[in-house]
Amino acid sequence: MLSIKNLKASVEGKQILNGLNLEIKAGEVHAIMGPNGSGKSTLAAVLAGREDFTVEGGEVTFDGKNILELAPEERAAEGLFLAFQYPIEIPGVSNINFLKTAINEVREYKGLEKMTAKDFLKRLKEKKELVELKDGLANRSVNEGFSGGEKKRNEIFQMAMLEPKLAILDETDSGLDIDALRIVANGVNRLKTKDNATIVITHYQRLLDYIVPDFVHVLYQGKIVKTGGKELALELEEKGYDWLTKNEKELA
Amino acid sequence: MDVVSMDKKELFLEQFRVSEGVHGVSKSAELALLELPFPNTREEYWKYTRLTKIQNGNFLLDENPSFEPILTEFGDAFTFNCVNGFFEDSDVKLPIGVQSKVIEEIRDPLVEYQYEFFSALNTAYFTSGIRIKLEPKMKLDKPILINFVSTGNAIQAQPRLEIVLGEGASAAVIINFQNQNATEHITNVVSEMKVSKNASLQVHQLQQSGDDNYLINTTEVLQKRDSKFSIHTMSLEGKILRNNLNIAVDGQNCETRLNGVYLVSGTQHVDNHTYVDHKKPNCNSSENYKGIIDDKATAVFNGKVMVQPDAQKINAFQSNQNILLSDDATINSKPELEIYADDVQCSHGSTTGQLDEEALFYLRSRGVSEKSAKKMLIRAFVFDVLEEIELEVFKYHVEGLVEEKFGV
Ligand SMILES: Nc1ncnc2c1ncn2[C@@H]1O[C@H](COP(=O)(O)OP(=O)(O)OP(=O)(O)O)[C@@H](O)[C@H]1O
Ligand SMILES: [Mg+2]
Repeated sequence: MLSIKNLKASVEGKQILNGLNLEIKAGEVHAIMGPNGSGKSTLAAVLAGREDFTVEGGEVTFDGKNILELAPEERAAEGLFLAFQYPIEIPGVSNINFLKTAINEVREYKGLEKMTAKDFLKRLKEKKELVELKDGLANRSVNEGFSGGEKKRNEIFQMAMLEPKLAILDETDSGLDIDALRIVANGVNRLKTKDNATIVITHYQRLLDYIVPDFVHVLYQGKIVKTGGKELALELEEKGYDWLTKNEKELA
Repeated sequence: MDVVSMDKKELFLEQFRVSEGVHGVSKSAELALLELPFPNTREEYWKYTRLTKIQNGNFLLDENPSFEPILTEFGDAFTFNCVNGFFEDSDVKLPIGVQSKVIEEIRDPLVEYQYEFFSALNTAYFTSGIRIKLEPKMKLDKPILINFVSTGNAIQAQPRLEIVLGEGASAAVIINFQNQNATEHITNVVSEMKVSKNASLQVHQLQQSGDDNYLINTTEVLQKRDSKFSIHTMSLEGKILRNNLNIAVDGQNCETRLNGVYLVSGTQHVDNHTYVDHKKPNCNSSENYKGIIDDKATAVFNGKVMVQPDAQKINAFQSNQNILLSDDATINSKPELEIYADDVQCSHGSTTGQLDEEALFYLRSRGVSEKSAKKMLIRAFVFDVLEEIELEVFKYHVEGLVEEKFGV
């Protein structure tokens, strides 16, 4: 589904991704872990099409399409979704109106008719229940005045509404209380099908008890330096990153 | 004054003179015009608004305008039509307690025409005018709608409007500047509004007089004690569009609200000069103007709040915010406070920025096109100003226009 080959990207002249490789197939869950500043959010932003980052080399194909050439909204329409590490507040833009526009413009891209108001409301109700989004939050301006945890939950709510093929969750677990973590993880699991895939970026093994990954990758200095199964996360929890990064440091 | 510029002013004035001569207040205004220079950028009041194009224009009077049916989106209203500066003979059925009268002669004007060229020009040679008066306690259940229509080529229109609210009366007024294929057209309008004790007046201005045309719009307001006045000015079209809004708050316990949205593109120029003069204590005034400026357009905001020596316990708030959508767009913003009383609470501020890139990316990353995302953010930016419009028909219509303007 997603194939990243030798991806190099920089921001403000500073190289952040240094030849990254990753293959993701439909139905899989991949966890990406790694120390602060290693480039996890940068990878997510480059995939989503943020223009501040310059792709210096490599290729990314999503269902066979070169997505690096597409605008952010086209990538979204192709089925990519990014839940931001730091969701921003957009006062004056209503969550619901914005989602309605997003859904309909994605449908337009795919050559489908607009969603009827009835179907939209049905989906809204269903997904609100799925992530147990407090009444009222959906009607407010995007994230305005939301608590940290509410913002994260709103990201998952939007994901549920948009039903992407590939969702990238950038530290969606940070800032969530234990119950919220369970609800969000449960939401993600229930949305999982054999046709979609998820990338979970996290620092904590705990989330991976709820969203069980097929693969765990360690990102360090803009590269994936180790890949393993879910037990790798446990090992990292115990030993930290030093034992993995020593090698790289010596090389540097 | 050098000979050349005097000649130019003379030539300009010549186009407005009336052969039968003028009398009374109009005569004094005519005399004032002889002394007043044609506005130029050396004057503080016109510093950023260059009027050469107007000065060099050849304008004609259209004495027999055709009053074709005028369509508006404002629903049921007491409607007055004014085409090219001439009010149509009105057959509006007004309720008892409301009168409308043609202004034959100007009496007790609020506007200080002695000091301002275009006010003097209108006061001397106004084309036609009406006075609408509400008796004390009269409350209208429908808005009063004034349609100022521009049509034809190189026409000058100088209408005059007076609205007088008796004690405890209340009304909503829509002043709709509308274009019907006019080119090189100038409207120089003076509106005077007297809001008596305990009265409440809501004014809504929609300025769409065509991007080929000039509008100079002077509004003078006098508020007496316990009165409420609000004005919402939406500036959308116009080659040069100048609003002079002067409000004298001459009584205690008044509420005054000035809101404005200007959306300009191409080579449009919009200039809002507002002046709130707090003469008496215990009043609140609040001003919020927002602008979106695209292409090579220019906007000017100059808002002054004056608090006179005895006007204690005044709360005055003033804000002007702008978004520039292009590198060639310009804004000159100058909020001013002049305070001579010590027990007051006043604040003012001005900001200028671009559309929030992060917000744009957030919306686009969810599948919203760049165009729609920009539209959403523009709408969000002016949202709070539009939210304050109580007259729903006006609010909805304007919301639609905001989206259209930048919907390309
Ligand atoms: N816009 C930017 N301008 C300059 N440097 C940037 C920018 N964005 C990211 N960086 C730098 O790129 C590096 C990688 O940042 P990134 O946010 O991808 O790390 P991360 O792995 O997500 O870290 P964390 O675990 O703290 O979220 C950091 O050194 C960061 O300072
Ligand atoms: Mg990060």
